[in-house]
Amino acid sequence: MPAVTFRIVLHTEFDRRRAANPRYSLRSFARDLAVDHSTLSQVLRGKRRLTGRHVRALGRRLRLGAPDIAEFCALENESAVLSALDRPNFQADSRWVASMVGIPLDEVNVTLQRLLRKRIVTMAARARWVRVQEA
Amino acid sequence: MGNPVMQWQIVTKDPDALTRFYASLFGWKIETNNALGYREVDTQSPRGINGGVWPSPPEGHNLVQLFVEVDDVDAYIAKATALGAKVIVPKAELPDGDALAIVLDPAGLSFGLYRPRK
Repeated sequence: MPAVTFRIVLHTEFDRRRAANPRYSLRSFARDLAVDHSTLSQVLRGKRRLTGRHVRALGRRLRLGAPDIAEFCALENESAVLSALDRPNFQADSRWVASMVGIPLDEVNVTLQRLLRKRIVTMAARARWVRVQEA
Repeated sequence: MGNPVMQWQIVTKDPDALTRFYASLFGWKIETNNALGYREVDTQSPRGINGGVWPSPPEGHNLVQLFVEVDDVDAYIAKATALGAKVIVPKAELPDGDALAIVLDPAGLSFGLYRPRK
């Protein structure tokens, strides 16, 4: 079960490759992962959110196992849904959350239930979804 | 008033496909006009109970749950856990006014403790 985010996995792998080959660049890493280098740069700097599609594609190229890839996707979805809860104009509506974070409605609902199960979020009142601890 | 079984819920990795299947097979009506986009299933009969379809995570299993009506979800969580149940999903006050907790019975079957909107 991953205890780190997928972004940290990418950073760690990039550092490992650079340690083995000082000429190994971000462009090299992007090429090897078959992803646009500016996208990868934004992801590594935390300027761009990873989508499930990114995580699945990159995870396969990093030879991660399917259970780990699924867990990283779930963690990225958790992060996305929590970011919606933190918005000042938050609406307790899964479709609204889906439209804000760009993930499908069913994935939002699976993620909400996961956050409830992990006691990261509570639904204390009908329109009050509250983050009670860090993911 | 007792504690009637109020609803069944199918949990599946492909809720669209399964909803289409049952709608085609039985003519059940599906309504999703609610805050969770929940697939509410109306069996179109005054007998029996209605249900719903909820997505399962990729690593989850397809299953059916029963929702049992209670007047106080917290009290029944306490009672169920004292009898050997485990809480999977703590009580949530759902956007449409219902309250629900999902619990595992001592045999490992999950069910809902459900308080309908007032």
